Amino acid sequence: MALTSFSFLCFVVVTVLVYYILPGRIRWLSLLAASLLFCYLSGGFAVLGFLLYGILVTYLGALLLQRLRQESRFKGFATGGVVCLTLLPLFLLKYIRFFGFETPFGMLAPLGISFYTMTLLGYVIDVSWGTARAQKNPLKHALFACYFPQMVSGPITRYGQMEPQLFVKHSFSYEQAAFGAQRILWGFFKKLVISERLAMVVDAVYGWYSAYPGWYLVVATVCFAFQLYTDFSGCMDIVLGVSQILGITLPENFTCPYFSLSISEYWRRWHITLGAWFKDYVFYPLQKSPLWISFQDWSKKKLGKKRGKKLPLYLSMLVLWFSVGMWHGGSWNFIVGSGLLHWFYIVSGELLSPVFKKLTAWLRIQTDVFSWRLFQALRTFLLVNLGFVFFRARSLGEAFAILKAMCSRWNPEILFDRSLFKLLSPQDWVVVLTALLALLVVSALQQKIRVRSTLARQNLLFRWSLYLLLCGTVLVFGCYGGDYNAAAFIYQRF
Amino acid sequence: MMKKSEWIRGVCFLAVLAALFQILTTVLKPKWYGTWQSTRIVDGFYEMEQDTIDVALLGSSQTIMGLSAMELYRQYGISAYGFGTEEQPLFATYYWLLEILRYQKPSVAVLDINELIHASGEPAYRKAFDYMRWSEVKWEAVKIHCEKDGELSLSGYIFPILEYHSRWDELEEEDISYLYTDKKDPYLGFVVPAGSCEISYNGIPRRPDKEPDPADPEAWEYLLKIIELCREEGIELLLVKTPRAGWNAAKHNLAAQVAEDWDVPFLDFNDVDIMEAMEFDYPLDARDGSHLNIYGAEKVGAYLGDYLVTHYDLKDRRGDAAYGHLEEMLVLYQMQVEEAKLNSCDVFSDWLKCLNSRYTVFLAAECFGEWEELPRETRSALEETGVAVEILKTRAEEEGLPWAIRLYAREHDVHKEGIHLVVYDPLGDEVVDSVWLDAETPDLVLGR
Repeated sequence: MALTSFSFLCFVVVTVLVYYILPGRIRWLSLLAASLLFCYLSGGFAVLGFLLYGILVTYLGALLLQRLRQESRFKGFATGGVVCLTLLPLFLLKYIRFFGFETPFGMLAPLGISFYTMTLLGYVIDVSWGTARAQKNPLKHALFACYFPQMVSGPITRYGQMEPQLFVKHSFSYEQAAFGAQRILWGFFKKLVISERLAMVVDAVYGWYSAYPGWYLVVATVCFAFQLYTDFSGCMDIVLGVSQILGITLPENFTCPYFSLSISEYWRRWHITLGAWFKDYVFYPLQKSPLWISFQDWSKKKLGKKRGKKLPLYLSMLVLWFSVGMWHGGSWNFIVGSGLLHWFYIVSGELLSPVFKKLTAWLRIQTDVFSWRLFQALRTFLLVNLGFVFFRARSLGEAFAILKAMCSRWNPEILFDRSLFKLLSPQDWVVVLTALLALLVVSALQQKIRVRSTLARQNLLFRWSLYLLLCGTVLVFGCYGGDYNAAAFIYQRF
Repeated sequence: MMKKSEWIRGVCFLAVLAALFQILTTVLKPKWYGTWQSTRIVDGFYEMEQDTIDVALLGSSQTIMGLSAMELYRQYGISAYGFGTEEQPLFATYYWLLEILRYQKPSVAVLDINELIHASGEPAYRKAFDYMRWSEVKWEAVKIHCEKDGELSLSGYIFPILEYHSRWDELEEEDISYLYTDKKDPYLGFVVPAGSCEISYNGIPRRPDKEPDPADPEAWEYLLKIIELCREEGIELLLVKTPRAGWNAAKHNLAAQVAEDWDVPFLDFNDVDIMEAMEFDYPLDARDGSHLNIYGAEKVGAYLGDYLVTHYDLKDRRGDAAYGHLEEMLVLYQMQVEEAKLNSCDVFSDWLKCLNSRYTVFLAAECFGEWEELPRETRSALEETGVAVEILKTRAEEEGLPWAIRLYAREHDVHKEGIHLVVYDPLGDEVVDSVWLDAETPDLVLGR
């Protein structure tokens, strides 16, 4: 069931109505029923089967881990065992190909498996560390695992964030419902008006890149950057909006990442919950592990205190970024595009930082002005776009071929001689560029104010006009229906 | 719990949103005002006074171009209406008959059975159902249709905007003006067709030994439902087939078999004897291999009307105050018939005969700037018609064209060599024809 489908909207309306009609203490059961139904409608018994496996393993595993004392030697093995069992379906259905094997019975990875597996792993590890209590009620644990808005594309939540919200009574709030509906509408706007439209350009050019060399590929890559952002963040808007109507607050996953001034900042604004998860459950534990501490000691002895401290840090970052890339899909183009390339940016940025400082001083560049921040933002955007070439390509080889094709012809005239109308009609270009401008304005406003709250304080005629304009824009200019194939969100694949 | 003011605000917003949704749907839905005018025909039906239609003319494009309800009224005083859309499947005709019965009580239904042998595509179903009003009839029709298809989404019928929103970059003035224009159909579900063809066809002789063609299964099923429905409702059903060059004995025998099995009369206008009786001349009376022009529709209307008054108990509604609206429509219909006849002419001499004296003819030609400069024959011929003729000077420098005739900010000239004539009807305030002729050719054949 696509999040931008009419059937999903009907599903949400019915779920919300049933939720608030039921007595407060059993409302969470209706959420569980809705979530299981959603999983079934989205992928049939295959999705349900793998999900129930994950729920069962982590439910029993957490109860076992809670019983074991913290200092017990067996606890480490038990934690590792539960983690491996939880990861097993994900490994067999997604990552086994990376090692040259085929998936069992040719099965495809079911919907959302990467997301809910991370969520459950985090829960198990938190229980192992003693930072969370194991849930004794299996139904409550099931709801935490499969809460339907976040099943498709996240965000990746923590048990500590969700447990206080999922099982308590939420009273209906008109304001929260209105804000939630507005957020859903904004998500539809991003996905259907912008992302789906840009997808036509990207698919055409990347699908036949040899016929579209030079600046065609540059334009398509930039379009992909906005396609991916509006697709994923649009999905998040819908997910968070639905949750808001239900009185549940999910963590933000995007905070205007293309305004970032550095790659590090970019990853604090892009897919925030994924980055946080890997930092908390891979990076920091690795750094604090006895093996790594020993490695740090050895490194300091061999390379000196300063350099010796950096090497283990960079290597642990390498592990982190390799894992992030691997999570996106067990293939090298994702490992490079979403992982290693960003590791390279961050590490080289740090190593070359003194050089850059001297250079800016020598060139007398002012760094506390808007023009410098604009340069930093554009530079970051370009670096990120290079990674997107790998992300969008079907393989590492194809990514390099695309980069080669990009440099093979110098044809910036295509920006002015109507060549781009071959990819999208003039009217569609006007629509998408206007929509991107609107998105830019709203994003800029979001840096300063809370847009929905500010809008809610305006006069009724003004704000209703805006809401109706947005509704009309999605209805008329949205790419949906028989002529389009607007169903799949990109991150749904992971 | 929500406060009362929140309830009111929420409900009001949803009401405004629903209104916006409806307006956008209405604007974005295609207005089939082209050749087949399906939208006008469907909308026009709903504008008819209730219980004023005695004869329902049913079918597809063959019906709306071949069976003129206005001809039946003009010649015999029969009150009728044509319900047909382009390639309308019998499935849709069945549900349209059910819909008709919600507003009218026809005593006779005339059904052109052309679609008995065809399977129609999805566009035909959309044209049939998109403008039908919502009721249990439409709900059943679209639900069954989507279930039969298996891949169609019912939501696309419930909310047409899901199907048509991508028309935003094709919108024309008629999409907006549809919101406020009068929906009455002065031609009572008839298209008033123009044109002629060069197809030679003299009808089909009877050949009872010829094996009937197979029927489309869905069409067969719903033809039988139509027959049963007519029996239940006390409607006398007459099956017909308008003249069509592609018709043959095998198709005739299929329809004749149904008629015989179910004791329903079948009037095949393709019969050589009937065509002879009508003095039907296919190249002059048809616009293409399947559809008649206004001349052919008049002939079929005369024959059909005579058949109806002879075989059925139908009242002559002329002079009946309750049917006064038909008299008003007749005037408009006559104007349209004149225009169609004019548009059907290929030769200048015939064209001149069709010019109504109330018309004004605008004339432009590269070589002739003044009336006296026109060829004498052309001048005399135009003078004899009694129409006002205005000579327009050439506008080569202004328009960058050899010549142009612009009326109401629209270009009407066909931009070919020769003499250009644009005919304006002041009564309808519209341009009714735009032709050119090469004064050098002996027959003065018209081009359009």
